[in-house]
Amino acid sequence: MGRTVRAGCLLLVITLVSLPLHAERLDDSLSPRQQFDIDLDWKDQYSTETLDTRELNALIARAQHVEVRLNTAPYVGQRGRIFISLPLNIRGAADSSALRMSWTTNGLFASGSLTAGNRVKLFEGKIMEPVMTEIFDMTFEIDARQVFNDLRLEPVYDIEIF
Amino acid sequence: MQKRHSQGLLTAVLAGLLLWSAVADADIRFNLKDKAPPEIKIRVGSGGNNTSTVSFTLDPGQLGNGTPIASSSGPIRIQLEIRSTAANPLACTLTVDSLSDPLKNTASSTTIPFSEISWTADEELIPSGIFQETMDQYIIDSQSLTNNPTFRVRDRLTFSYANSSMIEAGSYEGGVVYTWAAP
Repeated sequence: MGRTVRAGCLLLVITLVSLPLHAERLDDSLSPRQQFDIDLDWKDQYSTETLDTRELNALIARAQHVEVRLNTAPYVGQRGRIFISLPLNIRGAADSSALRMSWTTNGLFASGSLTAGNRVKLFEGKIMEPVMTEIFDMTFEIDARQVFNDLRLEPVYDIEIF
Repeated sequence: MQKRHSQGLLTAVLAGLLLWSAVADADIRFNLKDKAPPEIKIRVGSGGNNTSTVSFTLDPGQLGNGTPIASSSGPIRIQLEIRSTAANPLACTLTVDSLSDPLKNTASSTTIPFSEISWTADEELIPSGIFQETMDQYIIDSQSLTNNPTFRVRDRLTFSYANSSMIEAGSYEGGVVYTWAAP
């Protein structure tokens, strides 16, 4: 019994430090589509003659018009920063650092890019709407040598109020 | 008392984890299939639809004296390429057909066996060898070259004529075809 409790406490501590101070996770369950099945393809497809090893192994996948709706109702009227992050470990990848996610938006949120285990700011300012909606065009790039299974990515959104 | 406190803490921890899991289920998920379209490529010489030529020039006094003659046209580059993922690695084999298009005297039906022709590889990535006059002579396979699911190998082959027997004077032409194939 004592061993089980100690294990639980350790897990709790790890969970707490994984989010920055005062950051709260945002619910994206209002988004109209929750799952995107997309295919990987070679980034450079035609003239491979001059590609170096990194370029020869570069895979790419795209998800267009990904509508993300974030429940910001508890923060309306407050100033906040909204971030997007990827977990440190990506299921299916031997080395998650080999994966890069980049995106463009319609302008409410910032365009940018991100690697596994990192966090990037999407928005800073006054929260005006109870639901913030943005359309993302997502691009994923990964080294073929690191793809050992189907990859599953679940970006996480969080907010800091200041 | 200490035990009850621990149990209460554990319950709180588990409740926290369950709540966390419930929120995590709402995440938008991207599933990227691990099967990128596999690609294999081979390039011999200048590539494309071009057929590269290897030439040997012998003086009549040299014929059949057993002294090998190097090609007068320089080495031929061979490039092999595979693109696949670690989840679905592709295995390929390089073979050569030196039987279907024998070296034939352009003025008569006399032939020279392709086993008179050998090659030396600069890097020995593609092993040096001698044509065996078969349709599917094994040269090398991808597993022997590397463990990587995606790779490109380049080597340069210099051909040599053994000059081991007397032959009818004239010009001889024939061809070999290299095949890089996945089963």
